[in-house]
Amino acid sequence: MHIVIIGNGISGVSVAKSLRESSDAEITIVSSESISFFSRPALMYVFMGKMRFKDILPFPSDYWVRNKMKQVYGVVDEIDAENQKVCLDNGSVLHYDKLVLALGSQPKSLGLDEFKLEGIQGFYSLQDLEKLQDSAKKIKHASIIGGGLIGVELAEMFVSRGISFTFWVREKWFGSNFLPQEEAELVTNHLLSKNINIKFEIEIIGFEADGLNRVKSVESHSGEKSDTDLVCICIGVKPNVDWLKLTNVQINTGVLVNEHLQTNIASIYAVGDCVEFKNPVYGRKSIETLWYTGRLMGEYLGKNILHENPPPYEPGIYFNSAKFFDVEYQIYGDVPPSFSESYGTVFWKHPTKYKSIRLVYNATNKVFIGCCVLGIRFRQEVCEKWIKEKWKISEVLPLLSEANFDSEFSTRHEKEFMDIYNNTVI
Amino acid sequence: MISILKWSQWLFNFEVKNEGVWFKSLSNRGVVGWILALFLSFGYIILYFFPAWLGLGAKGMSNTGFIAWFDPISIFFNGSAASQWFVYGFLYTLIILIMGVKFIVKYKNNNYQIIRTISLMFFQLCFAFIIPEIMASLNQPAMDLKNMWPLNYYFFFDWNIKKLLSSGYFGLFLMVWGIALTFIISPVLTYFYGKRWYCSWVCGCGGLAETAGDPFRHLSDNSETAWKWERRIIYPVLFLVCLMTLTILDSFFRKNPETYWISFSHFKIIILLLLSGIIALGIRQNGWLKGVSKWSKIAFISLGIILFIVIAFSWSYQKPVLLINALKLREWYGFYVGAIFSGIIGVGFYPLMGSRVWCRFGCPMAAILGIQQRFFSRFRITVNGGQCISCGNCSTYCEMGIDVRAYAQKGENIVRASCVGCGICAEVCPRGVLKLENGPISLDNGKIRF
Repeated sequence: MHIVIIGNGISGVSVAKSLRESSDAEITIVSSESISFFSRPALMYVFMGKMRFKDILPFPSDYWVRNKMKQVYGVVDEIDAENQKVCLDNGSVLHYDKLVLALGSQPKSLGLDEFKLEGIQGFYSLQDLEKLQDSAKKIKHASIIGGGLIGVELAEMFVSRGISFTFWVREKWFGSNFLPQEEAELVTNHLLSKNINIKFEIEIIGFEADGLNRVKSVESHSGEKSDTDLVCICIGVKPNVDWLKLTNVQINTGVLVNEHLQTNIASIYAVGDCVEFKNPVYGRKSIETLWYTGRLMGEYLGKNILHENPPPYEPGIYFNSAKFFDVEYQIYGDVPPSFSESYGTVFWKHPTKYKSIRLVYNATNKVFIGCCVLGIRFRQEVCEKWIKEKWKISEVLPLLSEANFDSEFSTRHEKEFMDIYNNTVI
Repeated sequence: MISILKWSQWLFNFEVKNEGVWFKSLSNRGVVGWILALFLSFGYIILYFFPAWLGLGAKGMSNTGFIAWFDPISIFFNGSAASQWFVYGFLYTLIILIMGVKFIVKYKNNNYQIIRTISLMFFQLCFAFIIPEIMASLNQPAMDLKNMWPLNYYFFFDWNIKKLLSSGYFGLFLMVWGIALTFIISPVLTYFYGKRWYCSWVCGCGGLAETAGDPFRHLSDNSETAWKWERRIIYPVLFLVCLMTLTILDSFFRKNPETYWISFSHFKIIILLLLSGIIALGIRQNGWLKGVSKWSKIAFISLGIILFIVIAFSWSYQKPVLLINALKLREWYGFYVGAIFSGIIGVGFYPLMGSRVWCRFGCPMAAILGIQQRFFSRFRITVNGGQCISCGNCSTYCEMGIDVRAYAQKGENIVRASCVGCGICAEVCPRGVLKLENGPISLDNGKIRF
C-alpha cells in the first residue's frame, strides 16, 4: 500500500502522522514549497528575528526517517488517475494506491492582475517570506492591503523591523468581517495605539508601475495616488486548485469532497484549505481555511483512509485563535460578527486595558452557544463541554472562572462580568 | 551620546519582546557575544585564582585598585576591608537588581513574572547579601539561609559543622535549619509547587540566569542530543556530591567518634538506611523491576550487594568509606565543579549556551528537585486543547532547552525534571496554549497519575 500526499503543510503532515500511528503503509510526501514541514503561522517570527527558520520546524530532522516517511521536493506536473500515478517535473513518477491532495491555498487577488507587477505579493508561502526578506532591505515605503489576520501580522512584522508602511483597510474598523463590533473597535484602538499608519474605508482600485514593471504607487477609490515600492495583498486566501483543472478531479472553488473527504475519484482524497465540502456540516462553511481545521481533517483522514466503512468527518466545536500585536484572541463555538434577533450576548470590556469577554447564547432557549475573548485566555475543554452539553447561560456564568486559562496571579474579571450580566435583561 | 541612548534603550526597552534577537551580534553568538563570553570567563578566572591582579591586598596589606573601590561599602556592612568574595557578591547582587528591573519592565503585563522576579531580587539582596553580612558583623557564622545542600556542597564539611556547633544556639539553629531545608522544607514545597519554588523564585544562580541571562535564553540547545548530555552530566554530579559528602562525614565521625550526639555507629546506620531507602524507592518507581530482563536484574542486585560489602568492609576495618580519599575528592569537586563548572562555565557561557548551563547540566540541587518534580509533584504545564500552532516560540525561549512544542502540539502536559517553571513558554506563546499549574488534577487531558 502506497499513500502519496501532495503538500507538506499541517494538513498533509497530519495525514501522514496519524496514518503512521496505525499502519505500516508506505508514505510519500511531495512538496514544491520546502523539503520539510514548517509551521506556516510562524513565518512572521522568522522575519521578526524571534526565531530562525530551523526553529519553526515542528519535528526534529530525524523524524521523517524514524517514521519512514519519504519526503520528495518537486512540482507535480500531472495526476494520472486512471493509472494511479503522479508525474513530477524532474521526470520521476510515483505510483500510488491512495492519493491525498493537501494543496493549501493561495492569496486572493484584487482582480486587477496585480501579481504580475514586481513588488506586489501575498504573504502565505515560504517563497513569499523569501521575497519579502529581499525587498525589506531596499524598500522605502510598503503598503498592506486588507484588514485581516495576515494584514495585521505584516503590520507587526514591519513595525518590528522599522519599515515604514501604510495599512489600507476597506472597512470602518479593523476585523469587522470576522469580529463583533465591540471587539473590532477594541482591536482597532489597539492598532492605533501602536502609532501605525492605518487608513480606514479606503479601497485600492489600481496600481502604477515604473518602466521596469515595478510597482510605484497605489491608487485609492477617490483617485488619490500614494507612493510605495512594496505592496502586500492580504484580502484573504482561496484554495490552491487552479492546476487541477487539467485533471479529472472535480473542483469548484476548492476540491469537491464528500463527508469522507473523498473526491469524485475514489482513490483520491483532499484535506485542509483546498477542500470544498459538497454538503458541509450544519453551521459550518463549505471552505474553512484554518490551521486547526486542516489538522483535524488530516488526523481524521490518516485514521480512516484505509478503513472500509469510515465514519463521516466531524469538525467538532468550532474554535480559532489569533494575535493582534499584543492582544490575543480566542473564539469557541458560534460568535458571528453581527447578531440577529435569535442571538443573545453578554459583553464586558476592561475600562483601560485591551481585554474583553463575550458570551453568546440562543435568545429563545438561553442555551450557551459560544464565546470569544481578547487579552484573556479561556480553556478549550471547558468551553467545548459547555457548548456540547448545551448548558444554559445561567449555569455557565457562576462557573466562568473554571474556563480561565490566564497565567497565575493574573487579574481576574469574572465579578465585573457578572455585574454586566446582572444588569442585562434576559 | 547616541550609543548611550541606544544602550539604555536596550536596557529599558518598553515594547520589544525578543524581536530581532537572532539578528543581533550580542544575542546571536556573534562577535559581541563571544567577546562578552570571554570577558566574563576571564573575569571569573582572575577573581578566583588571581585576585591580586584586581588589587586584593596580601595578608595584612591594604587593597589597591579595583577591589579597593569596594572597601568603603564593605566597611559599612561588616567593618573590614573588601575581600574578592565581597566584591563578587556585591556585583552579583547589583547585576541581579538592575537586570531584574529590566526584566520586570519587559514582562510588565504578566504578574507571575513580576512577582517571581521581585522574589528573586529580594532573596539575593537580603538572604544572600545583607543578612550574611550582618551575621558576620555580629561575629556569628555567616550563612546564606536559602543556599541548601547539595548546591551548598560544603554544608556538611567538617569545618562548617565544627563552626556551626561551636557557635552556641545560633549555630545550632543554622545547623537544624540547613538540614530541615534539604530534607523537609524542600520536599514539601517541591511536592506542591514543583522545583520552581527554588530554581526560579529563590536561588541565586537562578536569579542571575533569569535576569542577566534573559537576553540569552534562546541560545539553550533544545535538541534531543542536548537532553541526553544533560542527563549524562547532571546525575553523575549529583552522585559525586553525595559521595563526597558521605566520605567527608565518614572521616569526620571517624575522627570524632563520640564527640557529638550522633556517634560514628549512628551515622553508619543512618547512611545505610538512607541508601536502602533510595534504592527501594528507585526499584518501586520502576515497577519493582517489572519488564527488566533477568540478567539486568541479576546485575542490578549483585551491584547492590557488592556496594554494601565494600561499605561494610571499609567501615569494619577502619578504612575510609569505599576506600576513597575524602580530601582529594573534596579538592577535586571544589575546583572542577564548584569553580570551573558553576562559575566560569555557568556564567561565562551565557552568551554561547544560554543562561542555564549550570542549572541544566551541573547543579546537583536541580537534579534532586528535578527527580522529585518528575515523580512526586503536582506541578505541570498544561496545554490548552488543540490550540497549538507548532510555531516553536516555547521551545526557542525555554532556557532549559526543553522542546516544549513537542508536547504542546500533541496536547500532552509537560512534566519534565529540568523545568524550572519560569513561565516564559506560556508568556511567549502567541495562542495562549500553555499554563503553569499545581492545583489538584481535574480538567487536564495530560498523562499524569497520583
